[in-house]
Amino acid sequence: MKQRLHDLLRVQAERRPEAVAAVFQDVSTTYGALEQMSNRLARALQDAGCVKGDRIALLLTKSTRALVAMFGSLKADCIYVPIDTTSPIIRIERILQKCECRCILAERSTAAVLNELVQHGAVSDTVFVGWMDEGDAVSSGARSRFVWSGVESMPDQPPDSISHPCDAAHILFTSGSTGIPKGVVITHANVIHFIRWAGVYFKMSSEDRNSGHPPLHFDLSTFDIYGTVAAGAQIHLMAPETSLLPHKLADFIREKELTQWFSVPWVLQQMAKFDVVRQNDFPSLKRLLWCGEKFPTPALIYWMKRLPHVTFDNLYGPTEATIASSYYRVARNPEDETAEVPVGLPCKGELMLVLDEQLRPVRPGEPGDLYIGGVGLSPGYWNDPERTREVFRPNPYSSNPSDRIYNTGDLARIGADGLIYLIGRSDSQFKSRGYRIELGEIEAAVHANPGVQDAAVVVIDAEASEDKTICCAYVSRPGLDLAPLTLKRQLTTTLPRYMMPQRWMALEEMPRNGNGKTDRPLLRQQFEQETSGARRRPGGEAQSTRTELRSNSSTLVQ
Amino acid sequence: MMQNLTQEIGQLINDQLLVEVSSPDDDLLASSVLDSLTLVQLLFDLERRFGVKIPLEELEIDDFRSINSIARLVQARSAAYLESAMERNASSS
Repeated sequence: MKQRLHDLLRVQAERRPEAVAAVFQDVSTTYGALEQMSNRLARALQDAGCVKGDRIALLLTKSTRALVAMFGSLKADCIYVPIDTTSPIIRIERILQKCECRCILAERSTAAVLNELVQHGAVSDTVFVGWMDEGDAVSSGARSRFVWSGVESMPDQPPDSISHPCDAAHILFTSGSTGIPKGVVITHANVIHFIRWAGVYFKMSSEDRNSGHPPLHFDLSTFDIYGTVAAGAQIHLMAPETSLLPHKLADFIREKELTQWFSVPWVLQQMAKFDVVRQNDFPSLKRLLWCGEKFPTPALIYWMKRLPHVTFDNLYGPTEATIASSYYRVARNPEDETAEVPVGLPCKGELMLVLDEQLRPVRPGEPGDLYIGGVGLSPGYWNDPERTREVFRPNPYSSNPSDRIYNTGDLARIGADGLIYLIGRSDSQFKSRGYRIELGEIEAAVHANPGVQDAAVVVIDAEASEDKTICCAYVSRPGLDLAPLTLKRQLTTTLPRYMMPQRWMALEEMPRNGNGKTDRPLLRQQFEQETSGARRRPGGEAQSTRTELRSNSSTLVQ
Repeated sequence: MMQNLTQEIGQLINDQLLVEVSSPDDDLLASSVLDSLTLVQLLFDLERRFGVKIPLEELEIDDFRSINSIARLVQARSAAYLESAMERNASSS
C-alpha cells in the first residue's frame, strides 16, 4: 500500500472531477475543485517556507474550507492539527506550544480567538498565519503570510509530495490525566488501513451520501472525510448548531437523503428521547454507525424498531488506534432492554487482546485489560516519549520487536460467543456526549487555583438523562471561603465547557478512607443524595451537604 | 418591558453559564456560548425564572441565536401561556 491520504483525493479528481465531494450550507464543491484548491494552498504553504513534517494548526470552524486546509497541508507534506475553536484560550495555547506549529490557518470567524492567543503570547514570531476566507487579512497581531486571494493565484497543479504512508498526517488532542492534553499522532497508513476495511465491509460507493456530523478534532470525522473521499461519495457537513435540536438532526438526514449516519450514542439517545424518528423514516438511509461510548439498549431498540431497512453497527476504538478497532453488527432488535451489545471482533489487520496484570491472556468470561495492536495503532503521543512508553508496550506475543500493543484502560471479557464485551474502566477516564474526559485533568485545573487546598472530582449518573454529571468537592485554603461561582469562573479559562463540573460542594475537610486516600465512593454517594435532595428543596443544597459530609467523614476517621 | 427582559436574560446567562455577552444581538451560536448541554440548562432556567414552558421540539435554531431572540421567544411563550391559562380558567368557571 503506497497511497497517502491526499492521493485518495487526486484519484477521484482525475476520475470524476465534476462529481460532488462536499456539501456545506447548500453549497456543493466538486472533487475537481477540492483538488485544485488544496493544490493551490499546498503551494502557498510551501512558498511561505513550510517543509515536510511542519505542523499546521487549523483554527477553523467546520466547513468545506477546513477540508481544503486538511488536504492542502498534507499535499505540502505537513501535519495538520485541528483545533477546537470553542476551547478556552489557555488550552489552545498549550496545544500550540506542544506542537510547535509553523503555521496557523485561520478565518474571519476565528480571528478573535487568534487575537486572544497573540495577547497571551501563544503565537511566537516564527509562526505565520494564512487566511482561508475571502477578503484582507484580519488584524490580529500575528504575522500574516498569505490571504485567500493569494492562494487562488497559485498554480493548481499538485506540488511534488515526498511524504510516505507511514508519516504522520494529523495530530488529535484528547484529555490528559495530568492536566495537559495529549496529542495522538495518526499516520496516513493508520487511516487508510481502516477506511479500506470499512469501504469493503460497509459496501461504500460513489452513490453514498455520508454525514459529516462531529467536530473536526473528533476521531470520527476522520472516517467521515477520508472514507467518503476513498469511495468518491458525498460528505454533507453539518453546522454545529444543528446538533442542538434533535428534530433538526432528523430533518438534516431527511433533507440531505443521507445513506450513512455516523454519530455518537448521546446524539442518537437525544433523538430517541424526543421521539423525532418516524416509522420507516429516512428511506435513503442504509446504515447507522456509532462509536465513542456505550449505546444504551433501550435507545437502540427505539431506532431498530423504526428503521427496519437500516443496518446497525457498533464501532469501538480509542483515538490511539485510529477511528475503530472492532465492529459488531446488531443483526436483530434486542429482545429486552438489559441485553448487552458487544464491541465485537477486531477489524481486519487489528489485534485485540484481553490480558491480566502479567500480560497473560485471561480465560473466556474472566475480566481483563483490553489491549489493541495492529495496523491502526498510532506511533504515540506527539513530543511525549515518556507517556508513549507508558501505554504503548512491546507486544509479548510477537516475534517482531517493533510490534506494540496499547493499553486502552478499558476492562473487557471475551464472551462464550467469542465476542469482546466491555465491562468498565480501570482508571478514572469516562465518556460524556462522545467526549473522552480524564477526571485528573479536571482535578489538576481545580488544584491550579491558589485558593484551593484540596479537591476531588467524581462522576455520577445524571438523573434526567443517560449522561454523566461531573461533580467537584473542594476545600478552600485556611482563611479563605472560596465560592463555587468564583472557582467556576476561573475554570472557564482553562477547561473546555464539556469538562466543567455541574455540581459543587465546598467542604471543610476532604473525607478519607482507611488508607488515608480521598473517599470517592462517599463523595459520589453524597452528590447523589444531594441531587435528589436538591430536587425536593430547591436552593438549599451546599450548606446542608457540607454539615452532613463533615459528620460522615469524622465517623469514618474514627 | 422588552429591555428589562433582555437585561434579565443577559444576567441569567452571565450567572448560570458564566459567560458575559457584550451585546443582546451577539450571535450566541457562532461564539459557541450555547452547546447541547448549556442549551438544555438555559431552557430550564428560563422556564423557572419566567414561568413559561418552552418545549425543545418546537424550537427553531434562530430562536436562541441572540439574547434578543431569546427575549422574543420568552415573550411569545408568556403570551401563549397566559392565553391557555385564561382559557383553562374560563372553561372551569
